[in-house]
Amino acid sequence: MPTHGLPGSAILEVRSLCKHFSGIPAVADVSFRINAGEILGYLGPNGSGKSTTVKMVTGLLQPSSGEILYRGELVQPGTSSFKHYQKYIGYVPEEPYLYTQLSAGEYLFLIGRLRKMREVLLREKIAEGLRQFGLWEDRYSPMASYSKGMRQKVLLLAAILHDPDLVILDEPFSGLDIATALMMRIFIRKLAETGKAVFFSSHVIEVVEKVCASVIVLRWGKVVGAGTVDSLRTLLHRSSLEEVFADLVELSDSETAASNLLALMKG
Amino acid sequence: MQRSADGESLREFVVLTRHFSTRLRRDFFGTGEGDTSSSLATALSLLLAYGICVAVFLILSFGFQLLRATDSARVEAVLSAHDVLTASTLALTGAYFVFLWEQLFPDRFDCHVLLVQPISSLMVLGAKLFSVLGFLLLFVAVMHSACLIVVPLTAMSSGGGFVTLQLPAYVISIGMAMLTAFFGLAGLVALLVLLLPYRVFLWVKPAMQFGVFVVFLGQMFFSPPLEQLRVPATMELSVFARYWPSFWFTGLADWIADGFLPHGAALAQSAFLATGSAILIGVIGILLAYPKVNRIAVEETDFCRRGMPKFPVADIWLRPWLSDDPPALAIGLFTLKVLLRDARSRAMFLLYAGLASAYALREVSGFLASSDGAEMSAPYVYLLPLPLVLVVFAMMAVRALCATPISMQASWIFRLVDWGDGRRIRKALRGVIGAVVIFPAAVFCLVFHAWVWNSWLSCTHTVFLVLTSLIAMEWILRNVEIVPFTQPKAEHLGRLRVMFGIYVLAFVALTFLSAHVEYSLLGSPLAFVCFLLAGTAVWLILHVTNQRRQAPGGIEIGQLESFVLGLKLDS
Repeated sequence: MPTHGLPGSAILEVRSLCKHFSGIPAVADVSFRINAGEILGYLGPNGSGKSTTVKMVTGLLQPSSGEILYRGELVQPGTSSFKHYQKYIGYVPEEPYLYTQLSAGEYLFLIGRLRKMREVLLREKIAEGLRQFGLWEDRYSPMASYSKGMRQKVLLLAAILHDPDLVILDEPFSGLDIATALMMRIFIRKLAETGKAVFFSSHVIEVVEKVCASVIVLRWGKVVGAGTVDSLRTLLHRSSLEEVFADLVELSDSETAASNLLALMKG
Repeated sequence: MQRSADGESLREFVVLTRHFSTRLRRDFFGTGEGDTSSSLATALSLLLAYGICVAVFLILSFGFQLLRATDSARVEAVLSAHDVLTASTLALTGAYFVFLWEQLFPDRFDCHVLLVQPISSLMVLGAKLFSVLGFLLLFVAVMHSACLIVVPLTAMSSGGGFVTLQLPAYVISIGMAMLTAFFGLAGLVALLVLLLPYRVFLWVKPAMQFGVFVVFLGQMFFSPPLEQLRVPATMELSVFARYWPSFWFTGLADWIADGFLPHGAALAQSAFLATGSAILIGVIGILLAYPKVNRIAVEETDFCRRGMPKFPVADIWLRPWLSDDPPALAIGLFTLKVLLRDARSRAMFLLYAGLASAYALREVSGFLASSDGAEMSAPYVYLLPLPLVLVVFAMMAVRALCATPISMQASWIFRLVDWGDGRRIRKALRGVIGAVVIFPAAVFCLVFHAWVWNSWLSCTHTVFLVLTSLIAMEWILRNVEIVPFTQPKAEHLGRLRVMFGIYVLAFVALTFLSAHVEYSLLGSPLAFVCFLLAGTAVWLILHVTNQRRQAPGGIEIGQLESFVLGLKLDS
């Protein structure tokens, strides 16, 4: 199976990753590599296996088969090598899993301490991060009172506090306002410029097109397209990534689906 | 270098334990809306009050005689206290465990947030267990705080090691009883998790929780007489005394305090064996089940479609009952499904039902033991109120639960939709209580008593049960004004101390009054008919009063300005 991604020194490499749930394949034979300074987009419709891949790469799910390599070294889930690898990753989950009874500062402090960060540095970073994200005024409020966008900002902060080598983002712009989304887009590009590897999983094509250099398209757990955005457009003779995506995942006729919904509403 | 790594690990462990403890305090004892400390304080004060009651009872029973009492009388007093306190500790641990069942392992949030951090997953598990055990220790310590002073005082002037060793004997025996119950139950849960498919486990869990409540609360009522412990060393202990858990730890306390029980050493040996085995089985079980629990916690959101508990009888009952009123039907179904599926609500319901069942079992077994079952064919006055006790406890559980919010964020829908007023909610709750409590109880009562007694007595008993249940239901529902589970805060928790007294009074009235009233009615059809008429009238009055009662008018946002102007604050 070919390994997708740009040639170079890979921070993360995934080889023939598979995941079966009760015998049913959720991810089948997925391979890719992300180099230092690269942003790899991971596109696919809902239920295509994006989050399952992300969870395997972060260690939340045990792969059914396949290999994960960090800087060329094999990391086995459940071993000390994987715990060592986890020190260098930052992860924003798809669902806002947060302890909502904690304030943003308390939560970030908990994560920072668990990542063995020095207390003085941690407090400085938290304060600065909260200011930059406009959360300073709400720093003492429990996150239960936060909007979806505010929670997403906290998750993003938690992912980058410890200066990771590899940032894994699963739908990171979910709920963000336009200004913050724009700032985050620039921030992700700057992350790559400083040599970080970014794995960007999303179904928002516009964002992926603007942020990522190369893209993998997933459908029913299998890679159906991979390459740079330009190469995919050229290959499929399409003018935008959206059209390329529609071709690759064989989307049903959107016009008909919308009309059916309207009919359903009117009973 | 090694020392530094160890220090870091310890620091992480402390951070995690503190985090889990805070989370436990907020999630388990609060509703997430700021009344956490009052709920915890209420629980602790109830336990403290219980401990003081036992201590006062001990002083009243033995205190006045202590100056003149013989050593053997003192020993008996201390033994009796130890036995009651050990049984209470086991009951408390059982009840606590059922409530904390879900907290034993890291949950989905813990997995997603903590397992991606570079920390050992075993450390996460250890910290979680440590925090759960820490709260149990706090509860047990508070419950025993009064007796820790009174029990050694009771033994005073007996002389020798018996007095000086009372305090360590007390602490060790109670601590070991707590650990045995906790790890024994943890081992049982771990075993079920390991052996059963998750879908089956979800079905078995409520039954298990109910069983644990009944067994652990029931052992307080079923305790064999202490005389069984004082058989001479030359004689064997009875099987009951030999294998009764609270006797092991009572024997252990006596053995440590250099006491007088002839079989103290053998009982202490059983206590050590039980504690050791429970800890071993519990720890191994938890370690083995942990990977499976983690896998389920993460995969559940990815793929697995778990079966949720369903209650088709309720659907069948509720839909015709409330079919003419779609909002009431919606509220009824919502209430019913939350009751069945929300873990904390289910545990609370099972606690009430378990308490009543343990009491009922004790009455039935006492009756069977005294009568050899020969008189089962005729009604027995002290068994008559048992169905009513069960029904009323279950109704009180539903009422208490409905006043506990489950999700503040989700309740917006009830504020957006015009669902009517309190009358509609009471109507929906009548349907729910009918479906979950009264209907099943009436059917069981009718069939069981028709088999044990005869059809006529069975029908009369069932009619009495249904009528008194309906009256009790109208009384219990009189203040319900808000859609169940959607209150801004847990209103019943603040009133729990007051309600506790009312519950005790209601229980006494139910068990004594209704028993004698019904017993006298069964012999006289005319009196029974009169009672039916009077009872129906009472129910009708309560029902009509409830139907007329409306929630105090709220202020609509549109009316706010005129309302404020109406206050004439500037005059």
